[in-house]
Amino acid sequence: MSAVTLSRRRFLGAAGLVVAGSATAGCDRVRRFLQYSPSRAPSALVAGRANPADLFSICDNCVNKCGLRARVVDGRVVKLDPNPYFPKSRAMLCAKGNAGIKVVHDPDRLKHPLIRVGERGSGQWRKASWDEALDLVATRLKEVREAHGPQGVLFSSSEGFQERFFKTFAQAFGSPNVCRHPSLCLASSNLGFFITYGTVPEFDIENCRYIIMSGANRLESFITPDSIDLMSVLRTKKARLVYLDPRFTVTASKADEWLPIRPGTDLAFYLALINVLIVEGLYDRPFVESYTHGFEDLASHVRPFTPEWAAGETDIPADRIRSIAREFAYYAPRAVIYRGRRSSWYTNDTEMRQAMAIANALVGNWDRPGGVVPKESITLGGVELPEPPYPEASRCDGIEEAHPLSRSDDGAYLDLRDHVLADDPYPLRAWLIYKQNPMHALPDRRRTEAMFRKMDLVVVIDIMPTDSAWLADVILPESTYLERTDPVESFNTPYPFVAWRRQVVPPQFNTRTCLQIMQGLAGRLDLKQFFDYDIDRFIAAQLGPLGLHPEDFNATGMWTDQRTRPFGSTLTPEFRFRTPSGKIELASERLRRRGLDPLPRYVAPSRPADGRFRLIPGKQAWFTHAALQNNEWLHEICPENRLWINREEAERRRIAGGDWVVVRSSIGSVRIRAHVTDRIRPDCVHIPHGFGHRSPALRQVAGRGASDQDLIEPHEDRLSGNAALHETFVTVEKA
Amino acid sequence: MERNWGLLVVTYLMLGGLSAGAMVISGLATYFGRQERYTVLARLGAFVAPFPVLLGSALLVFDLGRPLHFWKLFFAFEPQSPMWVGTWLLTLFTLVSLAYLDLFLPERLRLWNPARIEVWKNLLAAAGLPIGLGVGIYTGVLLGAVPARPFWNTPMVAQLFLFSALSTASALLMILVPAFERGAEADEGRRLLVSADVIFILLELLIIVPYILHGELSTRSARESLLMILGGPFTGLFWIGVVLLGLLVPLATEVVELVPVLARGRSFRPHRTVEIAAGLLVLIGGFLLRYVFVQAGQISSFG
Amino acid sequence: MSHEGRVRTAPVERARRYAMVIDDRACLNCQACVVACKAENSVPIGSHRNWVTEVEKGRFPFVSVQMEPGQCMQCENPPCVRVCPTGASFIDPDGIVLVNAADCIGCRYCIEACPYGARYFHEESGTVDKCTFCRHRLDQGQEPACVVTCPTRARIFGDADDPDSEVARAIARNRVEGRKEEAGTRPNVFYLS
Ligand SMILES: Nc1nc2c(c(=O)[nH]1)N[C@H]1C(S)=C(S)[C@@H](COP(=O)(O)OP(=O)(O)OC[C@H]3O[C@@H](n4cnc5c(=O)[nH]c(N)nc54)[C@H](O)[C@@H]3O)O[C@H]1N2
Ligand SMILES: Nc1nc2c(c(=O)[nH]1)N[C@H]1C(S)=C(S)[C@@H](COP(=O)(O)OP(=O)(O)OC[C@H]3O[C@@H](n4cnc5c(=O)[nH]c(N)nc54)[C@H](O)[C@@H]3O)O[C@H]1N2
Ligand code: SF4
Ligand code: SF4
Ligand code: SF4
Ligand code: SF4
Ligand code: SF4
Ligand SMILES: [Mo]
Repeated sequence: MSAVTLSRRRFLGAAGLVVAGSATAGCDRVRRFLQYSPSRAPSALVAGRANPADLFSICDNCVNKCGLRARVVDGRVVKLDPNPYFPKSRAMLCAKGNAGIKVVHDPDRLKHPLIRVGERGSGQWRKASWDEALDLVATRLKEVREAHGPQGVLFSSSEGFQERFFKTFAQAFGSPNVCRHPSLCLASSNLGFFITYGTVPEFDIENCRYIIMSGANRLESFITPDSIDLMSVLRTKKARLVYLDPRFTVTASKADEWLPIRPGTDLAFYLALINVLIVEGLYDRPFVESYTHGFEDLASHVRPFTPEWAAGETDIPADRIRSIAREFAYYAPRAVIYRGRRSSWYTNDTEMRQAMAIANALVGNWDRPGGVVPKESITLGGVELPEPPYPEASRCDGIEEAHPLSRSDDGAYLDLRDHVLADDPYPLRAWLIYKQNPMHALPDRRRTEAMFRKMDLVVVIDIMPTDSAWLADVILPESTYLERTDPVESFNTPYPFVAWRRQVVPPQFNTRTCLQIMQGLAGRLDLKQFFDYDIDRFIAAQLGPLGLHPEDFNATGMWTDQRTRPFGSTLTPEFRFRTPSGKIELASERLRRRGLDPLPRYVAPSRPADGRFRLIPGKQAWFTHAALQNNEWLHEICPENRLWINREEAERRRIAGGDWVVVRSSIGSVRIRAHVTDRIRPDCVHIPHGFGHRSPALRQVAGRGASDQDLIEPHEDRLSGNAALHETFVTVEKA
Repeated sequence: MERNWGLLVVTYLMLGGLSAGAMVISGLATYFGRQERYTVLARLGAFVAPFPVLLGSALLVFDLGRPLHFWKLFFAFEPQSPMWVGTWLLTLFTLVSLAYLDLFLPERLRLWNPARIEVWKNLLAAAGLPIGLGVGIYTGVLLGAVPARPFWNTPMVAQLFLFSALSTASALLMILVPAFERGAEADEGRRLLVSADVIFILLELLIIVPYILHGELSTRSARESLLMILGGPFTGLFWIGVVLLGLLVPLATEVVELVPVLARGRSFRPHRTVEIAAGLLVLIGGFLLRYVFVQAGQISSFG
Repeated sequence: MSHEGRVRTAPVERARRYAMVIDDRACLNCQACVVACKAENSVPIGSHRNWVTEVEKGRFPFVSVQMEPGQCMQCENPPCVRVCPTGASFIDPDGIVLVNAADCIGCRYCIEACPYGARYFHEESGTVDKCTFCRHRLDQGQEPACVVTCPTRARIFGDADDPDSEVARAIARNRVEGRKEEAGTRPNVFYLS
């Protein structure tokens, strides 16, 4: 090797003279050679090796919060790479994460505060200074507070590291009306598992050998580290995956078995699975005896739900259900029924998730490697400030009465909308929206728009001119995630660690962080005392009890004192689960106490009438909900969404791939192109979520594709109040 | 859709072929023909030969991503690159054909006036002939040497383009002769051109048949690429534009022109309209041939 | 010897033979690699150094989906280099097929010659561009952008001539194949078969 290098060097030296001397044919070649001289390449490639100048931070283009490293040149982010030390994301960034540069530099992004001058929704704005915009918001908030009390102001937000400041502000302001995304996303799943285990668990996919998933499209809708671990155990054949989905998703394509289940019948499948586990004695008897409660009730409850019965409901043959139950029990405890994340599916969704939780408990996979595991995290410190008093008024959405088991501080969004539209029990007249796009997140956009129009003041804090921002009175632009430092976050998967998002480049435009915006408003509303810190002090206070300093994150962008997931801390006879019985509840005492059926009750979903389809939504790997479609690198991958329709159904209607079709439901209709495919059942159609943007300020994507929310009827899950987005039937005609 | 190679390249291949053909015809006439009827062709061919290729080369340079860097072609040594070889061929061709043209100019206009002009004419014709053939072949080899494009990647393309070059050049001369030359000798020259074109067209037809057979019997990708002209986007253009209007119709009219001469030994009486119509059809057909090949080839893919 | 800078085919004396093994069955068509490449190499909108296609097969419910990630195969015997009239396209001593933009005149002949559609014309520079195996990252000891970002590690990269490298082991341990090998290109990007 060294001799080679040497001779090459000598050659180069000689060649250098030729370059200087004359412009012969040879010289070009020499130049090439110089340019790519191998002696410049170090001897070994290091996986994940970074430029030492690259900064660690955390992606915010979806809920996952993957670790990243940013290369900054002349004050501009030029490249984002994954942070290989980040336990949760292992060493990945998805397409969206890679497109983060274009989040900072999206030509359409919000660059300064805007105040509406024309009619609401007319798109006439004027640039304003922060002082002017904040003064205006504060004045109007005071007006609403005077007229309707602090509860007259609604605060809605989706998750994010700075969301806590928004919530603190809401509480300080005195409004109980805080509404977050869970009731559009995972509230029912949380509840179904919570009533069973007294906690909402994680799943140890990495060590698992048998996985059953219902419409948890992990290989397109990423959840880290589950998505990564899933593909890893599948490709090494360490685990088998049984995947139930009416649609042949990418996850289905990697599964060992795809079961195109009839939409809405997953509960029947799980009841039958439980039936087999019990009837055939496949469950973990010692575990059930020591750690669970209500087995007898369960056993008698599931007796009628035989695989033969379930086959008629689900379209899955009885013998398949039987053998899946046996395989599940065989591989237990390294076997799980994965709970999925978005569970805003059907009106009995909590019961379906409860059945999943029960089936898991029966095989004794709780808190063991490859099983269902409780969350653990590192406790952080905090600034010592007065906690704002809890607001006096009761919530407007009535969640305590309608869905008493649900987490009331997250709210029930669809109930809330109904109550707002009816001024029931009292009027809400101002709406502050943080990092959320209700015009796309909620079903039935007409009603959401009506909710906007009900308000005297709508303030949107976002980074893009979304459809919701378009209907606002004041738009306050937040600095994007690469432009701000966020509080320290305590992560719990795959094992507890802490990390924080640190500023990679200064704000490129006249934007502020949520904390700064909340401080600006608090100052104007005499609520300063709740925000008496800045982000650096806040972080120092969080790290203090751990004896950590910000510099301790310079080497890896994260900190932890553990290397593996902890197991078994709950597997002691003394441990009390946070359920009424103190055990894992196979029959829920929480439900029984409320006079409800403690066991999952099956109600067969209605089947589509002639010529109709059930509409099922879902996400694509390249976008997050209704965000990022305007990002030019992602737009290039998929410029519009298309309606998935079964090939035979399409042929019957003479619809060819790419044809325009009209899709109609009871609440509206959309025009969209068809994607004719064998990858979906004939009784349903699918519209990828997140298109049909109306805001003309999203210049790249405005008007492209269609929004499922113009079709989806506003149903909700009875127990949790989670939206039920899969309960709508549509017709499809060639346009 | 804008393809990698567009109309400029098509035109360039067409013009290169015309020059090549003109040079070959003129060279043959100079070298073999002593009678005046050949001289007519030699002279006109010499006058025509350099110009299409000059225009074509200009277009090609203009088509480059970096036209101002075209000179890099000459400061490289890449003999395995058809384009590099072609560049030198074209350069050589242009020089030879210009020198050759010079010798046909009236004495006062000549730039170079060698003592033994006929010998030099013969020498340059002898040189120009293979170079011209080379250029004619090159226009096809440029495409044919690309294994990635099954539609192009057969030796037949080079032959086809060569015969098409000769045919289009005959057609061009056919149209031009009467404008510059009159009299019985010129008429004889015109007969020669028509006869030659008949042969060239027949040769083209004879190549299209094995081209298709070869492709059909070849790899799947070659067979699939042929669908481009056998029931694909270029079928109509190829069979109606290239084969029917560009080859069969002019062939038929030319044969009809020649029948009295061949069958009854009558002297050839050229019909101006027939000449112009057949000539133009051949030229258009030649252009379409290159258009179809350049475009269809780029769609065809390997494997 | 003195000609090795303008190596046409596999050079006699090679420093390395950089290669990639792609496990297309682990590919999700998530397009992370595509966007990563776009960002790393300022690839213009509309052009691609790499791509992934998703092919559906079969009839409901017996369907399958195949992902096909593609890019320059870094051929040992690259037709693109052979046809280049200026020598702008060349194989570097590490086996990477590169375009020296300074010498490229933008004739686009190489685009036609590549059986994989791996090259594109860069309108702004007037030259042709392609996957460089992220040569500039290799010079820093970093793996290519598409490799580090892949959520499933479907891409393995390294020096195939170094028997201890992950890529050499992947080639040795698995049955691997090149795409369109009939073209005689001898690709250095391999797929698990
Ligand atoms: N039909 C249908 N409806 C659905 C779903 C579905 O699949 N189909 N999914 C449901 C689910 S699971 C969820 S979680 C909800 C999600 O609903 P939302 O939380 O409304 O989802 P996003 O569209 O991601 O909206 C996030 C907003 O935050 C903005 N944003 C991004 N980064 C920042 C930042 O740094 N600061 C600020 N201030 N704003 C930022 C984005 O521009 C975007 O407007 O939607 C639910 N609704
Ligand atoms: N790329 C990307 N990743 C994301 C997000 C994103 O927007 N984009 N969002 C994040 C968030 S907030 C969430 S909540 C998660 C959501 O991730 P998931 O929980 O996987 O939710 P969806 O993507 O909405 O996919 C729902 C799937 O359920 C299927 N399905 C529909 N009806 C039924 C049924 O009756 N039975 C069964 N078995 N299946 C059915 C649909 O066909 C679809 O494939 O993803 C997270 N990750
Ligand atoms: S999954 Fe993608 S978008 Fe979400 S945090 Fe990770 S890199 Fe960012
Ligand atoms: S990043 Fe990996 S999984 Fe995603 S498309 Fe590329 S090769 Fe496939
Ligand atoms: S894949 Fe194409 S561009 Fe890459 S080396 Fe091979 S022929 Fe050249
Ligand atoms: S475009 Fe550039 S690299 Fe390609 S063949 Fe022409 S000169 Fe060579
Ligand atoms: S190796 Fe680099 S240049 Fe090649 S496809 Fe991957 S990211 Fe792009
Ligand atoms: Mo969600």
